[in-house]
Amino acid sequence: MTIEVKDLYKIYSLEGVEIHAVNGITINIEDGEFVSIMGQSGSGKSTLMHIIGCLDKPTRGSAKIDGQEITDLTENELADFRLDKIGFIFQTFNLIPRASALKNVELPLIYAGVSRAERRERATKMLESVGLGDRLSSRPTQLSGGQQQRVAIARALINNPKIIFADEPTGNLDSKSGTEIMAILDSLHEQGKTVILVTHEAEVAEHANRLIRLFDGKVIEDGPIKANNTGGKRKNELV
Amino acid sequence: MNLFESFRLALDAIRANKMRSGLTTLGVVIGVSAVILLVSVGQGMRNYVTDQFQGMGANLIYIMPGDIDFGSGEQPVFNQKLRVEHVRKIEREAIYAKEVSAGIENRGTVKFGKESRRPAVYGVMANYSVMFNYPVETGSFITDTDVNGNRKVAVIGETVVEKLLGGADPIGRRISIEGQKFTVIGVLEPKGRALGMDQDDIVYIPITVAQRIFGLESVTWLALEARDENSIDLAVAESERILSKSLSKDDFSVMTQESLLGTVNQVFGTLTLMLGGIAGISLIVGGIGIMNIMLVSVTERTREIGIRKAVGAKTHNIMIQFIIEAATLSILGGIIGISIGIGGSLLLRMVLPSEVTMWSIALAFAFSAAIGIFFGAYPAFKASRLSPIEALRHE
Ligand SMILES: Nc1ncnc2c1ncn2[C@@H]1O[C@H](COP(=O)(O)OP(=O)(O)OP(=O)(O)O)[C@@H](O)[C@H]1O
Ligand SMILES: [Mg+2]
Repeated sequence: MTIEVKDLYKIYSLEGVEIHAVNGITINIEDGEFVSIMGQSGSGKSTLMHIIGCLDKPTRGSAKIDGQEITDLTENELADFRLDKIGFIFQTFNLIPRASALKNVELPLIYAGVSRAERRERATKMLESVGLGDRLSSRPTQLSGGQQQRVAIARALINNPKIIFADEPTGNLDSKSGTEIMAILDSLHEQGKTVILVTHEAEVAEHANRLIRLFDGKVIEDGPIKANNTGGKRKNELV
Repeated sequence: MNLFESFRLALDAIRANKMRSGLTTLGVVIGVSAVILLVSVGQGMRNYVTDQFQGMGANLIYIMPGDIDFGSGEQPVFNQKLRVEHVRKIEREAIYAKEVSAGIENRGTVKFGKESRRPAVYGVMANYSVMFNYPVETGSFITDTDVNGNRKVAVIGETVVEKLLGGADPIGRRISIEGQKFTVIGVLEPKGRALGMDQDDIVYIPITVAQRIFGLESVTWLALEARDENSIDLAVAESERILSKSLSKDDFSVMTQESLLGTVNQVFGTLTLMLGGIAGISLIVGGIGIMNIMLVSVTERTREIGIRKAVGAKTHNIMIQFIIEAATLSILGGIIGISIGIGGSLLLRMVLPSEVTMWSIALAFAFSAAIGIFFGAYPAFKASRLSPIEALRHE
């Protein structure tokens, strides 16, 4: 699953003012890479992730996943892409509030046409694998932030996607929960999945092999991770 | 993903949002039950009155004092110029009238021992019982001899027997009407209640006696029975001609069962329209309720749609789920509303005539369901066309 992005733009116009959220980005990501995207707030990280994660459309430019030009796809074809190939983890979890953990994790399988019994079995296993085997019927409001994010990860992984997008997955969590989440992402990378991670935290970014830094919608740095080139805040520096 | 799964998703959503589901259903229930109930009252009244007139016999012709032909649209004239002698005239001259009768309708104080009440006191002729089909249960009805001889005899209704005479055998008892002594000679078959009035709280006396004790020269009505169906129009023309000799055109109004039924239908058509209007308001109130609930939850549902789309739902998956959800609530509300409407109408029947009509059920149900489905599905339709990110950002 290679990702090829070429001359990508996302321009919002607000009351006549144009905001170039993504301002001509060209990057290639190989199959199985673990990439961190950093950059200050408003630099376009989320916008870029949403476009290559098939959740939003660019203003112009090209983005190919596995050779398929996704900017040409219809809304329903994009839905199939999201269903089969992509798992998305949001900073704010985005769980359905009035559904149990199990129902939330089952959701993609419903749209994939998997039978009820198999759905239940796979979702239960997936929740067990993220350590929530005893919270199947809990609602999101009855779970801690870290637990909610693990439900969200279980949902992202349930249909066995090749690419995982994680937009500040630890942003709303304490360091212990954050460490647990990163352990899961590490193991996904080890299983051969492509993992693309957005974060502000140096320690989190350092789990990846490659760092892409954005500034004002442009790539200003792209290369292998070295200790201390992440430039983010460190937990021990905050104390 | 098949339709069965869509159904399951919709039912899950209904269960998960009990408040929203309950209030939407309530809106439909209010609209549907109110319409069914109100229309059933209008229809019931109309049927009741129509039945009453039909029960009086098709060959009857009524002559009322004054000019009160409602159908004509003219200003009515009220006067009291009909007399018993007009009965005699028609009896003498008419060819097409088999029976002619007149009556005085009033209320009077009736006493027996220490008991006293004010029932309807009607002065009638001997042929009243046969012409209007009000037979006696025991004893006999007023005769020509009673009328001609100004005899103080009375035929009384069931309620008077019970309430005034305390259920004692009434035949031969002496009661006082407006201070005069009368002998009870008969009891009428009970007729029951109609439009909240007790039709058995009544006393019949000879018309000649009624004229005296009430000090009246005029009568409340004249009635004739035509020989047969084909002579109704002839009898109408004939009696108009005879009365015109001594009265002016404004002094009397001739009505047949047919013309009365026409008037009744006209009056009740208006009533039903009015009730329909009130019912329409409750439909709108119910509809606004549904609309509000659905629109208030748009943000929440739009976010939920964003989540579903983000994990791979297609536009039609979302639409089918929300349409099923809205339709289920509307149909559920409709069924409850129809049950309440029909049940309420049956309860109402104890005090008012009411009759459930199919068209009111169909109309109320279709309207409420349409509103429920539209306002349930339309926001979902709009949201399902957003990109997942736009839907998730919705405020
Ligand atoms: N729907 C929108 N309408 C208008 N402007 C938008 C919209 N979404 C994003 N933007 C703008 O695009 C720019 C990039 O936003 P984006 O969310 O991608 O930043 P980010 O790098 O993810 O920031 P953060 O680290 O704070 O999450 C910002 O200036 C933002 O205001
Ligand atoms: Mg962001």
